[in-house]
Amino acid sequence: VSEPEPLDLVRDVLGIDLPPDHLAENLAAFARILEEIRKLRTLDLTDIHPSIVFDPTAPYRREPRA
Amino acid sequence: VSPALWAEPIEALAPRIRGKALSPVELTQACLDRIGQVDDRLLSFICLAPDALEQARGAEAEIARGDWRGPLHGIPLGIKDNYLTADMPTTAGTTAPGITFPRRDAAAVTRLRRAGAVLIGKTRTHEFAWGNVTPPVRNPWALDRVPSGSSGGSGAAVAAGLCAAAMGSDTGGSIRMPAAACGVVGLKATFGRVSREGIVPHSWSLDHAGPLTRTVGDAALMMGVLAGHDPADPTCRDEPVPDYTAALGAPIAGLRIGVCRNHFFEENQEDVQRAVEAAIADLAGQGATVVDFTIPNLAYGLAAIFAIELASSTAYHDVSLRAGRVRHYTPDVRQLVELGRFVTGPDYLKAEQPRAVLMEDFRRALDRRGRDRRADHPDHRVEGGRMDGPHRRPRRERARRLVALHVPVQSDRAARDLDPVRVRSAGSAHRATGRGPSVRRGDGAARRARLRAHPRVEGSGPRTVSPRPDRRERGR
Repeated sequence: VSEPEPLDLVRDVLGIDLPPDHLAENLAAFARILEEIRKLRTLDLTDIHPSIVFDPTAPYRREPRA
Repeated sequence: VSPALWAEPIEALAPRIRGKALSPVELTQACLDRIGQVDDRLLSFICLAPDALEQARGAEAEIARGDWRGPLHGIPLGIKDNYLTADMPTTAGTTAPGITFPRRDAAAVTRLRRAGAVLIGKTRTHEFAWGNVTPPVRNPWALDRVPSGSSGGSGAAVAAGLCAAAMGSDTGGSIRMPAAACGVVGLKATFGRVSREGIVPHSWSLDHAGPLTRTVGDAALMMGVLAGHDPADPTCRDEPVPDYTAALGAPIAGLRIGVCRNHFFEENQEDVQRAVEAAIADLAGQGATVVDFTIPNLAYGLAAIFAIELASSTAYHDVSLRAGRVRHYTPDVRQLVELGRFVTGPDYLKAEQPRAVLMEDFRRALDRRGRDRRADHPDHRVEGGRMDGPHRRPRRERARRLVALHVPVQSDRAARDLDPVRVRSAGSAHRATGRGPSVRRGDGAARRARLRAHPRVEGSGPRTVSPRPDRRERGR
């Protein structure tokens, strides 16, 4: 069984169906963004609740729009 | 000499309209004439309301019989082209085939109409509000420059006097940056203050609605209409709306004004830096206490906004991405939409975590009780890769949501680069001094007719498919 190409893995895992050249171009463009995101990855944020809120009662408070 | 009608702020126009000294029809016609004279070069409007004068006549009739609705009654306004409108098409700046938007009014548009405003047209946006250039709009201060964006059409239109104010939207600076580039006031209202219902989403938890105006007073008048709870926007807060005009003109002596020194100041041009420092000194000179502070955790802000904005935008555009429609997007927007796929789930959630920390940092910095403590108090440090401090404890208090207001300050750069399009604008710190080629006359009617007949960017075709019906059309 042949090993999958790395770009094929990217395509499968991330659900991106782009020609290899285009995908490589995007990966290169993402490099600078990744540089910033790596800063986040170094942080221990274990006990900090993300600033997203699950509000299960919201639909029941919502009034129908006219 | 009185300024031209189209150069006056709402603060000056509204009392005259209320007192029947100024006709909304006359004012709207002045704006339409102005658009006809200069917008073939600015390109700030993508379409004009075919019934603008009819709206104005309706306002005039109501006011004549004593039914004055408030300070926006009869005032011509521009609406950014990512707000849905019933009487004008919405493009969100895209020419990609197969993408259409419902013909109905966004919540903010409904509020403005109820206030009696004359919605004169739609202003151009960077495609899907994903960019800071807003092609093909030009900056009225210098036509070879961009107006910034993504609310670049609104910034240019207000600066050039094509409408009294305009609506913008701001995810990562899209009201503030064009306001800065065009020398007008831009208000990114507090998250949850103005409903985003009916605004084409970009990043759900970062998108804000707000006005671009000539004066701070005008922004207050706009907010008096725009602010308020809307159950159709799940993030809209059900809180009392204050009188935003109450503090206008009040002395600032005794106010504590914080200056966050590790944000905004890093890469300013020298003249901008001088102007900002002069403005800060002026505030101190008027009796305010200026307190410099820093928020070290802002070092993670760019990473957080990258992860959140990219992932959210890609989620919104996912259907178009899978259908291949994004190949018709402009190359920069297409790439950004595709890049969001590389942001992993953990990265996204880790971006939402420092966001909570930053809100708490700013709350503490702005807390009067903390006047003797610096914001970079050890409580707030990130040490050894671990964010520490009071955020680690459960908090019952809701995190403060920050508002952002851009106001123009004098810059010697402006006078040098003035274009003849730029006109005297009451309330703006910029002053027009340049003279140049005379404005072409007589093409106003042709320009307006062209806009009405072809509201899309030239070259775009008709759109027939509606891939993203709004919530109401889905019956929810």
